Amino acid sequence: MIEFGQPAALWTGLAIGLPILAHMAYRRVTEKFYFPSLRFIRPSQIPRTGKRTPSDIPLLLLRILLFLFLTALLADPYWKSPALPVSEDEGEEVVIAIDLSPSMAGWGGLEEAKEKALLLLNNESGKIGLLTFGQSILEQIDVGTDRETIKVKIEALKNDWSRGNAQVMLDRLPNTFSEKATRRKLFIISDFQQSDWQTAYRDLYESEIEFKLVKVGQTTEIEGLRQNNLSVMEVRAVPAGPNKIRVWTVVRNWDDVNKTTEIELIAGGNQIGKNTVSVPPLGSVQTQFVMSEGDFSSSTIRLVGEDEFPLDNERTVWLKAPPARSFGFWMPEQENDETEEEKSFLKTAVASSGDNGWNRWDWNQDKADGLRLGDDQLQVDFLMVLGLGKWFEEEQLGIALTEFLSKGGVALITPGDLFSSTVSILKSEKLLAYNFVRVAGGAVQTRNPFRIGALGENSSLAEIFAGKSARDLYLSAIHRFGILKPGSGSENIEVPLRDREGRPLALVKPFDSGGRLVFLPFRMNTTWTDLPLRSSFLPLLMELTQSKKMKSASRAWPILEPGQELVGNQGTFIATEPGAYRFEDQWIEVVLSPSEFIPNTFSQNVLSDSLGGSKKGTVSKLKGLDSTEEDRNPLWMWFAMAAAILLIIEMLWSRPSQYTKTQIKSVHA
Amino acid sequence: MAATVDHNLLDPAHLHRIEDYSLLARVVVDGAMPGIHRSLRQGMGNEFFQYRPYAPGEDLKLVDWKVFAKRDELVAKTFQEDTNFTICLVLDVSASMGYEGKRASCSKLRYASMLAACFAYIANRQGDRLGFFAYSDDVKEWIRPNSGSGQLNRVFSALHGLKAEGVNAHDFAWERMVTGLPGRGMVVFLSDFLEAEDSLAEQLRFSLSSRYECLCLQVLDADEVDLPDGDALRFAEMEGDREISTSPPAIKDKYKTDMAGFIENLQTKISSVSAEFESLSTDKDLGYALRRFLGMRSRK
Repeated sequence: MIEFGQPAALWTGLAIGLPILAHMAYRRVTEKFYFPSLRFIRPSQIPRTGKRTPSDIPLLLLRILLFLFLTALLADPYWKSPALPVSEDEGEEVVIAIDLSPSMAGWGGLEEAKEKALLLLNNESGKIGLLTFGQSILEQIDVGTDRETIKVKIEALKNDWSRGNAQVMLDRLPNTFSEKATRRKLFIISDFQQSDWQTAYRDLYESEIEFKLVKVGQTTEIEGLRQNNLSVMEVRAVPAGPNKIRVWTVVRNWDDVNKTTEIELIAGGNQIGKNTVSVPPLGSVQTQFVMSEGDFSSSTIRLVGEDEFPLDNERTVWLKAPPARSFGFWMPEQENDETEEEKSFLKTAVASSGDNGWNRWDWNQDKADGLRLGDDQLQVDFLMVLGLGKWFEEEQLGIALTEFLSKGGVALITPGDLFSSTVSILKSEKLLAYNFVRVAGGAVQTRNPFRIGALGENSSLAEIFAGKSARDLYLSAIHRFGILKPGSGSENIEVPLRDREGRPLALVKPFDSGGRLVFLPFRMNTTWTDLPLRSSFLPLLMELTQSKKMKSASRAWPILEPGQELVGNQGTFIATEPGAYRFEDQWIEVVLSPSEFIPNTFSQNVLSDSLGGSKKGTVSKLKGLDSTEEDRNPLWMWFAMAAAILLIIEMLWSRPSQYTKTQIKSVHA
Repeated sequence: MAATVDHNLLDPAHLHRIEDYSLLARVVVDGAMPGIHRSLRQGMGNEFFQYRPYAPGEDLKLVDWKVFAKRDELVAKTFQEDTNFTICLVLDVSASMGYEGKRASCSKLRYASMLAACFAYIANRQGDRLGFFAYSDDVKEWIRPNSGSGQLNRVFSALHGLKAEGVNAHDFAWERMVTGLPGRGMVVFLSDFLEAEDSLAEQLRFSLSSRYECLCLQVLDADEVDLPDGDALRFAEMEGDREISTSPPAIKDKYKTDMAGFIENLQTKISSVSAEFESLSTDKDLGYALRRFLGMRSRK
């Protein structure tokens, strides 16, 4: 039977009186009348005529029919086939897969998914199973479970917090159907959010699974586009002067129209501040709050007002400063002046390499000493071994240093009084495969100092030292240094700095863990070189010792997404829901995956192809849902054709008569 | 003597059915209006015309002595006089002349053609040289003045082939026609004279001369005089693209006033150059126009 997709449009049928009125009261249609001269003809008002009854009844009926067809056309007519009776089929198995990724919590997706799933539960024959998935399979209810149990499960569904991954569901599918099944039917209910589905692929045709993609949470008519969402993309807390903390945040507008919203900062259950921002279409804005340090340990940034996806409207941030990075020294027990001077230079340099914020370096000799004594629980980021000599060997520090480096630590080593002994120890500890040649400049104090050679174009230092800073580096005087030559196994050792004759002035050995061993063949004091007095010393030191860990511009607490883990000393922290958490000595922020914020979705056609839907028979005629989608045979084309034919007939019928044309034919005199 | 007029035979409603202009002219001139024109001038011309009884007192040079010898009867020879007078018929065949209102029995062009045929017949009967000129946006027919029955047939044939088409170009056509006028004669214009009043007087200045006579016969349809019937009409110009939608009853009075003014203005301007003007309607019989023509011709 014929039904209408937009029945409200049928109200336009009330205007059926218009053609009737037009036939009863109309302005007379003037006929074309050829006349010798229009010289004295003046235009005038054409008199209206009115009639008590319509004239041209057949034409009126034709026009009314045309009007009715147009009205029906606007109402989106379709032919609805009568629903097929549900037949019990023992061999038929149906699996309802429901996406519970966070994006389903927006645009009413989850609620709609539940409705559709319950509808399927009622309409589908055969054995039914349920599969819910997010980043992983959240729950699997075997095919054949009684429907009441499944119904309860469906009604209790909640969204997951981990970033969605549809592939896990597709990989699990073959195991959800039994081998006895004569027909396998799969209904995937999801919003088909782009980040969750962009890599999903499985040829369901080969698995003999008929599938249907049921899209939910689509509030607009435009395929793939969901609107009305603002997201808190980023929140950071940084020091803002004495006893102040600045909390700045980035808000993104996913719509193509400008949006204005209020952002509030909540700490201790109270609103600390509120800002109003105007976010441009598909753009972002920053805003910030300044608050006293120490009053609260955490705060929450929240967008005031509702939008279609509430999960990304809030984010919690720690207000506590993260721990400073620590450094320490290993030195011989018997310190001499050279070592003291070297230590002083290096301590000053490293301590000043941080900033006034939370990115700072603390000299923590206790930790360094603990590490020297074998306590590997103590965290030192940067260890400087000064005057490495026999004491290092005697204390068997090679093992501790190797372990330190293998955990990602960074160590700087300077030679002891006996340069050859230092090289020998490093070699024996398998830390540095270089051989000693001799100490240059040691015998002649008055000779010209050695100079640093030009940095190679490919050198990482060349990017740092350019212009005046390079000039300062090249003017550095090195009075003594140990000449080394590479030995076997030295292939992975970098030589970023050489003298003008190409002899190594710095050796760097990177470790897989990210750790670095830096060996300088001279000591950092004025007896050996004036480098510590130069402005290029600090950047040179940082560049030589930088690792991924040390290179980060700012220091912050770990930020995890739901589903991620953080391994601690005593256990493992598993992030579940967004928020601020403490774990051992870590202050952890768990945030929703930004990829779930993206409102764009895939069309069913695109995904259907990825699932083998383009193959014969796979895009099924499944009728589990209401008939609005499967049983609808659109009729608008037929109505449009009928209306066009009627319109043509009407135009031919109502065209002006040809009377006057006969008058202009040539008159034969 | 006033002629007896058979109104039925002069009615265009009957005449327009006669396709043959020769027959039509004879019906009108010889049948419906016998005696309204002077007979052929007889005199001392070169071309023999007929015999007649000799009247005592006449010049004996007229007696045909050969006949007297055979029949013992005095008969005098009469000759067709060479009048050296030219009648030039000028006919407007522009598209507007093709108009035929509901009240008319024929188009304006057909009406004008019937008149022209009668004029030509009369001229031929009176021994005048006959010329014919038809135009619209260009010269359609131009039969130079000559006499004789062959010339009459040429004119009839030309009338038969005329079609109402094109835009009138009075100035251009008349200039061409005037330059071809013979030394003495009469020019009869048959046109609706629409849009012509400004230049007409200038083009007809030749009629100021004593050697020429000019008769302008305006042929109009009754619809042009008082507008056609109908509540609402979309008028389209026959010689242009303009269209005007109007209600004829609403503008009828003003139109009639304007049209009468136009005709009066036209008459004044034509009179100013010693030409004669008459406005005819296609639903009227041909008698009036014929009498007007003969009246002018008789003055010469």
